[in-house]
Amino acid sequence: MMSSRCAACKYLRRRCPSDCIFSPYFPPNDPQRFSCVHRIYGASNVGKMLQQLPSHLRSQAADTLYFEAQYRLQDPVYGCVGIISQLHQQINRAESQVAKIQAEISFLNSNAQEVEEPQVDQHFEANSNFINNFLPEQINTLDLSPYGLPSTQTSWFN
Amino acid sequence: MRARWNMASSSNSPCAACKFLRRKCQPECVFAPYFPPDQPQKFANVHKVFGASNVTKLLNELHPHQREDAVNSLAFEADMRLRDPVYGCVGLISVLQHQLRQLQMEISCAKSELSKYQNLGITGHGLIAAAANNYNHQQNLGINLIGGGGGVRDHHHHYHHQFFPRDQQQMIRSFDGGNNYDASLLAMNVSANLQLSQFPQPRAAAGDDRRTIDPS
Repeated sequence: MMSSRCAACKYLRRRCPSDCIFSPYFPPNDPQRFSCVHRIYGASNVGKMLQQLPSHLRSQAADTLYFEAQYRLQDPVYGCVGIISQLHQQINRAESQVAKIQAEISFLNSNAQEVEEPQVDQHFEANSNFINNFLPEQINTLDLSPYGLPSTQTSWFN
Repeated sequence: MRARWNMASSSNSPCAACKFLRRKCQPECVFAPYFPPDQPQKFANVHKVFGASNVTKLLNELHPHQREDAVNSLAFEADMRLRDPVYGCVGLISVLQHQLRQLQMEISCAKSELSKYQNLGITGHGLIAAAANNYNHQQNLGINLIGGGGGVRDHHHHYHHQFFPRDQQQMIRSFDGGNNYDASLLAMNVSANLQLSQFPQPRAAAGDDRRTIDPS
């Protein structure tokens, strides 16, 4: 009555050996998980990718393969690259906001100096330094242009 | 697209895919428009990760005008997966999410700073009022990748364990504390309404060993 085959071997209609590479990561109670990665990567590629990793990393690899496969099925054109582009845009906007607020603060700081509030000057200067130092020197925004992908369009998700 | 197609066949130069697969590049080759012969690595990577037949199937399910973007995004994903066989693109998503959260915290701090000027009665000729109104009407910027009841278990790459953060509500609340931060900045529905809550939680991973993937 009990099926000892993993979801992969069930899907592939084969015997599930004791050392099956898929078995720990594609349990029989979640057939959709393997079906998803199989559609995008193929069983052979998934097996190879897992086989080439140390065993303690395979679980994470299987999870992320599943994640990417799901997104590719949902969005066959961009997959999870669409998410990356969106995040880039949001980071750019957030950086602009930070810069804008800093400019506001600088402007008001100079106003505050005119109003003769020396204690406030030190306070705001210290905080301006805090904000400036808190910004990373260089945010690693990946340039997608070598891959021929547009970076500003938002119509992808329609 | 059609011009590139004709160029590949008329120049008698097989496309990168057919070169790799060691076959004749037919005029109707589905790969030719997107895998020019001068970019052999692009197809090699895609083939390693996805396989030629899977790519063919994917492309055949798309309109011709969508295929170039699809191929380029597949090439990107393949490249990321080969660079990081454990996390692939997901690692990058995690990093970017982390960066975005950091920036959003900075915005929150900066807005607090700004509000102090209001408290001190420095109006900046109406600038503060205008700025406050502007920020309160920000559009949704954040991306909703959050969900799941995951714990933090991966400590090697700190950003990786944030990939499966906790409940969405909890996350929004943490930014919506009394800092006048607009929680809607965090929330944006992914078009597919795909929630991470359905994904299993990451288990501990120690290394980022990079291994090459043999060609299939």
